[in-house]
Amino acid sequence: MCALGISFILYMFILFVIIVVVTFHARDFDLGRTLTITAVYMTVLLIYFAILFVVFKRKIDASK
Amino acid sequence: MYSNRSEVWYEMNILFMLVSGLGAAVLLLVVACSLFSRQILLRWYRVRKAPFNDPLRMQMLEIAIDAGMPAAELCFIDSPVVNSFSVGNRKNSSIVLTTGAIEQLSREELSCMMVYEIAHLMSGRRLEGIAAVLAGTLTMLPVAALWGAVFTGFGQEYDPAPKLIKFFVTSLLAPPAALLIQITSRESVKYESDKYAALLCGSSAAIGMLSKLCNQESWDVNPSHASLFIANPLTEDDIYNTLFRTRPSIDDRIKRLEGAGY
Repeated sequence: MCALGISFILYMFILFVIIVVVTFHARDFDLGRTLTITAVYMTVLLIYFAILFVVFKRKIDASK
Repeated sequence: MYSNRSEVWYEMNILFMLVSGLGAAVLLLVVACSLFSRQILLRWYRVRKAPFNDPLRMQMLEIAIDAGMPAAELCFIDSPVVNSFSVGNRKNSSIVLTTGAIEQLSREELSCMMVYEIAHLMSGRRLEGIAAVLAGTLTMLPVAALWGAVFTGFGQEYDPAPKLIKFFVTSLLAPPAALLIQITSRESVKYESDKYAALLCGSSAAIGMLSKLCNQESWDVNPSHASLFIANPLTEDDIYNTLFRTRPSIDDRIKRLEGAGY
């Protein structure tokens, strides 16, 4: 599960890159827009990692 | 802030085209994989087909006839590791043996290995092959990223920068690839195939074959393809390899066969 932890951090880095690109493109930092992007991205990411965690926990524990 | 509506509309169109293009590419990849997964995997490992009059091919034909299955194509890979895999469906399939298996296993143990692969094919796990190609494409991209970094001046392949880029791409792509593999593989199929091999060839040959699969040197195969092999060819050194572990341990499989007493 250490692998998933590292992946989660790196997916967060992708969020940082998205915010930087959007901010530079709009030439303005808009807190509302940044929070919206973060909320949507984090919701999808948390659901995705919850699925990953459940599947890997079940399958990898069974293969030990 | 966005200055006007037309600019936003233009950007939305670009985004829509990008998403549609990506979706179409993924769809095309899925269709190609479902049609040609067997051929892709055979080419991936540069297997060579067994000659028409090869004794092993004859042995495999006998087993296939006993099992009531159309004959599979027998192929070989040059590798010192004892391992094998099978791809395809009941009608159109290939069984691939390593040269290490041919050299180190006895005739009965080789029969057992082929029976295992035929049982695996008979279980109709075609999805496993398709998923292996799809996930294999994803897990191939970190290597492409490493060489991309090398050729764009980030250093040599042993330098930290290209390795870091490879690790970054692996961290992003290994979880979805492993998820695809874990969803499509069934642990019970492995136990059933072991049981079938023990029933047809005897438990001593099956246990002998399995025990020769233990404690081998690692084989650098694509992690997404590890689930296809009779024994896991990957080491646990790479933390992402653990995500691709789908099969029960060899010790557990031997214990099951010993306990069942076929």
